[in-house]
Amino acid sequence: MLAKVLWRSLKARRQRLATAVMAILLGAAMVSALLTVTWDIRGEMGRELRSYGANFLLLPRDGGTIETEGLRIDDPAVADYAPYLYSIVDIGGRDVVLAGTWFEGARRIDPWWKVTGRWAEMDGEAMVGARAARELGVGIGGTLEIGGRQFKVAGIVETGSSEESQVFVRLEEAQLITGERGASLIQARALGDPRQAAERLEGRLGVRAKEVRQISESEALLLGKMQLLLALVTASVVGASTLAVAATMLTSVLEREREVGLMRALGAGSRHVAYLFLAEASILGIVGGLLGYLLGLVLVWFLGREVFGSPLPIEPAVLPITILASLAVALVGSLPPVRRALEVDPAVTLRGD
Amino acid sequence: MELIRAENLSKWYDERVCALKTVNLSVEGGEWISVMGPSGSGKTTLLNLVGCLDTPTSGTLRVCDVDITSLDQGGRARFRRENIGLVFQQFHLVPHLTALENVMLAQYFHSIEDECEATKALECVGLGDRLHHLPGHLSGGEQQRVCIVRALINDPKIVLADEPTGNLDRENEENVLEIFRGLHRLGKTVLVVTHNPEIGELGDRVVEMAHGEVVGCRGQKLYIPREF
Repeated sequence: MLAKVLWRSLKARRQRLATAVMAILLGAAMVSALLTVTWDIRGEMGRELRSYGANFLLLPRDGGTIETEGLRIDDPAVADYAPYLYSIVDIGGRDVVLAGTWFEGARRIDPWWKVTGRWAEMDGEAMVGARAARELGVGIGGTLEIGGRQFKVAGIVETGSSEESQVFVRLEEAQLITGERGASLIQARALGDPRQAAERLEGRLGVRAKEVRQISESEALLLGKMQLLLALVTASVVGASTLAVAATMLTSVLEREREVGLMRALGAGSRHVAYLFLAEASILGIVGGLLGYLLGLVLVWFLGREVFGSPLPIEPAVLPITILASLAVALVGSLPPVRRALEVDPAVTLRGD
Repeated sequence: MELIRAENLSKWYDERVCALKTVNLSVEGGEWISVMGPSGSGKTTLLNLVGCLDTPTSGTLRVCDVDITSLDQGGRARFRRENIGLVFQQFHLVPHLTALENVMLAQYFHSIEDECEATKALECVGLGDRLHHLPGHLSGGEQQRVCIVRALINDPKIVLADEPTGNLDRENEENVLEIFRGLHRLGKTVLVVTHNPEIGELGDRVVEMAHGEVVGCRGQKLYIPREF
């Protein structure tokens, strides 16, 4: 019977209740979208900030070099790393900084480098900083002789920084040219706070870690502020939705005072009346939550495209959380109206004829 | 067997308006009592108190051997659904429920719904072809018959009717009164509030009220408390 009463009541007052569903829907859409963005924000921001380069360096402890024979960093917090061996070499009668590195690692850690041509990949290939290329008079496809070895220029590098004066070759070739066995430093990129990863690697590799503070600290600060902002916006939206539901449900109860009075007169207890309104609110919450989640997906798609430049991943856990939040909004918003319904005096409401 | 016993029953609203003043009344099981009097005489207030819809300001009221003045809201609701059937002048049917569902609503609050029983009860009052009609699609007489079936479906000990024919034409009035006569013959205790002297005379007793007091009683005598 409760189901019949609910169904008939919802059907009879569908326009009024559509307002409540709309309020829940908008709240749910915001919760769903913000949750998805917040859920992935650390990863997404991490990916964004990673383009600003390494966030810590590993340096030799005694001023020599870091052994690179069999070098492998398996720390789960370290996303990318690339060893660098620097030395001054003579190229065409000019002193130039030669940087030997692992191009695969360097490419991941410095994706923001603007490379004309392509990244070097194999032995005998080099990348030349834009300023060095001008001074040496070489371009893409040109050749350089370094330490008696011939290198073909695969790409010209623009970074707006010291890299533009350097020539990059594979680490192993740089080691052969300079006679050094290791690397001058290792650039590394840790996810989240780099300090813990740096400390672990200090012990494991016998090196000295140096944090690139500007990036890691601003990243943590930015993430914290973003999350606080999103939490405040979500709380405001949920609060507004709750108030809207409360107002709509209260109007609904006021309109149905005579019906409630009649139910009371027929012997309905507080439990019966409360069940009726809370069940109605639950249905509105679930429907609003589901529709809101779908609208949230559209918002997420839009945010991903416009703000992050790529689609954000859909987190399955957001759906039940959104529905539960909508249910909570509907039920909390219904509490004052339900209290009002429980106070209905049948003698008074049925009298006014 | 005495079913209703009111002693010095009073009801005040906001400590200024006296709706009922020291009313004493005793009703035996199976009696048909007509309560008559002008508007504002306290008839409906008396009915509401007996029907547990309201609580007295002072005095005692025992219905079906229960001191209903001592019941809380939940207790009154429970007592109502188990002992009282209410018939209203304005019918008070839930507008978005069909005739059958309106009757089953009373069953739902009482115990278990029985669609068969509700259907048979509506058929008994000539509404077999109106089971699935909404109240808005029923005539006044048909709505009142649904209201009466709803009041009786849980087999209450007492039927309270407030101007049950007040909104009906002559033909429907006669139909409704015939149902009440039938109830009386079956031994139901009936309290009917009415303005209509013809209907009033149908009762075993006529209790006349004015200004919140019982001013006369025709038929059997008024209950007088022992200490008086």
